[in-house]
Amino acid sequence: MKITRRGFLKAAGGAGLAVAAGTLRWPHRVAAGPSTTLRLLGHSAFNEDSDKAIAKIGNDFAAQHSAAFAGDFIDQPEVAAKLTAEEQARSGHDIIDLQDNLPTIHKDYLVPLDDVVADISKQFGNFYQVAKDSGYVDGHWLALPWIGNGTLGVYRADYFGQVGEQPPATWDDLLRAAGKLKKAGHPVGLPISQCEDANSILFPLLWSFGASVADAKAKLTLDSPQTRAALSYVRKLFSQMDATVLSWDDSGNNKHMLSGRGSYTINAPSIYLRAHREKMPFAPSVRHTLAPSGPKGRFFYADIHGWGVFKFSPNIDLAKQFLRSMFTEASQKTALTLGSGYDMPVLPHFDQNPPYAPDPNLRLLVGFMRNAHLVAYPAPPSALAEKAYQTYVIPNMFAKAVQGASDKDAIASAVTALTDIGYMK
Amino acid sequence: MSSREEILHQRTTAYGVRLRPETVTAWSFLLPTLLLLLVLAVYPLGYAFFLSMTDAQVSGPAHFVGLQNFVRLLRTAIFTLTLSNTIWYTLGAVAAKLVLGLVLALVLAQRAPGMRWIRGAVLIPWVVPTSLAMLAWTWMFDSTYSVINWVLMHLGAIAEPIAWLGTPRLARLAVVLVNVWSGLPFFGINFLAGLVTIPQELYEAGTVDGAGPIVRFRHITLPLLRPVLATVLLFSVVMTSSDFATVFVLTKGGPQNTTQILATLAFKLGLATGDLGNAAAISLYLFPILAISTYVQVRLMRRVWQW
Repeated sequence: MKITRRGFLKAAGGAGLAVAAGTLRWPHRVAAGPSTTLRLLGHSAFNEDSDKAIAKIGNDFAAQHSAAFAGDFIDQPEVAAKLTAEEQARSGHDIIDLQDNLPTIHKDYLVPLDDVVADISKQFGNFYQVAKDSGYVDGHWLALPWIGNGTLGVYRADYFGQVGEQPPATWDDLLRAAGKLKKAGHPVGLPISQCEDANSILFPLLWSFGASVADAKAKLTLDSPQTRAALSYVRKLFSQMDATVLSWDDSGNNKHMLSGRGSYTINAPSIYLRAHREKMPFAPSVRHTLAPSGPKGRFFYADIHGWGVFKFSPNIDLAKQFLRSMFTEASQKTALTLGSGYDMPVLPHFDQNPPYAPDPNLRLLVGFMRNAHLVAYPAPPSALAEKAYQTYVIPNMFAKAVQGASDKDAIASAVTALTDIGYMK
Repeated sequence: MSSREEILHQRTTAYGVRLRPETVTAWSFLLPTLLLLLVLAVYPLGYAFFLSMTDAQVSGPAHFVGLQNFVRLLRTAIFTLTLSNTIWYTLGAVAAKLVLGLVLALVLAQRAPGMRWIRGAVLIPWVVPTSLAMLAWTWMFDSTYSVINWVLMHLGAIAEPIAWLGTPRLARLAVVLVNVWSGLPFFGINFLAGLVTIPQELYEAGTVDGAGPIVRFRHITLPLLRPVLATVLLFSVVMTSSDFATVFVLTKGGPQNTTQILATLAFKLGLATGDLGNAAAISLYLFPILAISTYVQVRLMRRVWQW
């Protein structure tokens, strides 16, 4: 049959009009059945097996429910941006990764998961408080806590041995060792830059000196003698580190240690795991210890990741079923085994026998969540805390101080930044 | 029998509108483009204007606040720093690209063996995907594995690595350098296109009259290149002031927000923390200035600089 140009245009135009008028319909997603795809948005973990664990649990669930599973894993800092974009479009993933303050920020778009959490808690007990701080918003569970990432002191036992030092238990121990290690050509390194690792190290450092950004009512408390003491300490420590710590991104301290130059940093277990996985010659010397304690004790920051379900998802019931399936003994074993200690349980029940516990370097993480806090601590999670985190107010305060600003100026600039964000004095 | 035009005229006059077939054809050709512009440019811009005049957060109701966001932002330290960064970044990068682009075009205009290949190769930085190029630059400025530091340390020029992206001055220099590197080919090739349209007779006449290379450049090349210069400048000011990838990949606005520019701050506040009203205001801050300068430049190009 000969198709003329005019005929083709008429047919195409007619079809377009018919679709627009609703006479014809595009094939669309159905609520259940083989054509249903459950779409999950997660962060791409430094430990790549963490993503594989979620994909495995997802694919197993999909196979049992005649559905398909599609997991998208993107860089952590871009997850929040993706959520906002999808909310504006009212379209996107069904299940989404919500870190720390995000359930509070995105609460209008999230399906309450009280029934899911009740079922899980009935079987396995209550979640850790830090996990509840993140997921429980305005009287409802808007995110189902999934895992927590914590930080440990990562050190080279051989370098510490060479300078006659033990792994540091306190910040003063670290400072004493740092001078010797710098002379030996293996400086310690903590990021003082605009990256997440800097936030996750410098907030607990502040807390351990008795300082905090705000009190429990979110009123500013940063301008304090305790903050000055923390600034003074970091100035001294910085003088024993490479100046490049001011430019590090989240991979900076990993590279510092894995290049063989660095002797100590604070990080998630990714450095230890990679050194061992790739059988690096110095892997046996890479060890973990708890992060140092300060005058007011030892504090931990935990990065809590939970799962939320969008209200505009066409698969809300299926998504809830999937979330329940993530909290079975088998699913948790998969997640914690592949998570290799990088991912820690948010339910004390699964701390009883974590698969990574036989490794003494990872065993330190057992029960980590019990004493961990979110960055908003001691205030509850909020959009303000997220803005302070995202605009790196605290790392920038320390960066100013180590580059010559007085305590007064460094704190004043941070207080200005915090009040600009919306904190009340 | 009536002609086709007469019939159409009779039909349309009943509605008081005269539709000539040429008009219908012209609009039918224009319509797809207009629809695309409406959906992809006018609607997002209009929505951004709307958001900028509200206190919209990603969750919760939005209230109309007029120009309050624009006024309040000027009182915040991070915004004033960002605005000043954006202006200096744009001025520095565009000025460097302008001067170097002109030099590049003059070199590429020469007849030499292999010049066609060289002209093609010059375009590479411009056609390489921005994020990939930025990652390569990130590696070159990396604190641990920087090739620049490696060379300098092996030459004995430095004792310990330089924090290229860790000190305000070096980081600002780095982001401008990378922007110039990626944008220079656009300037060079456009200037080259302008150069080859200048009639050779003018240069020959100038030479006969005793004009040297500098006089010929000043009195023949520059005046006749002005329309191209203006167009390229216009595009570059708009593109550089709204640049995102260079800063986002290279420094994320650090250190201490000294390389933060409007696009990256708007991204941080709007998309990452859900402060949609302020983020829209930030991203629209330069809009009036750019719109007026574009209008003036286009008028000048049409009225004064035509030749």
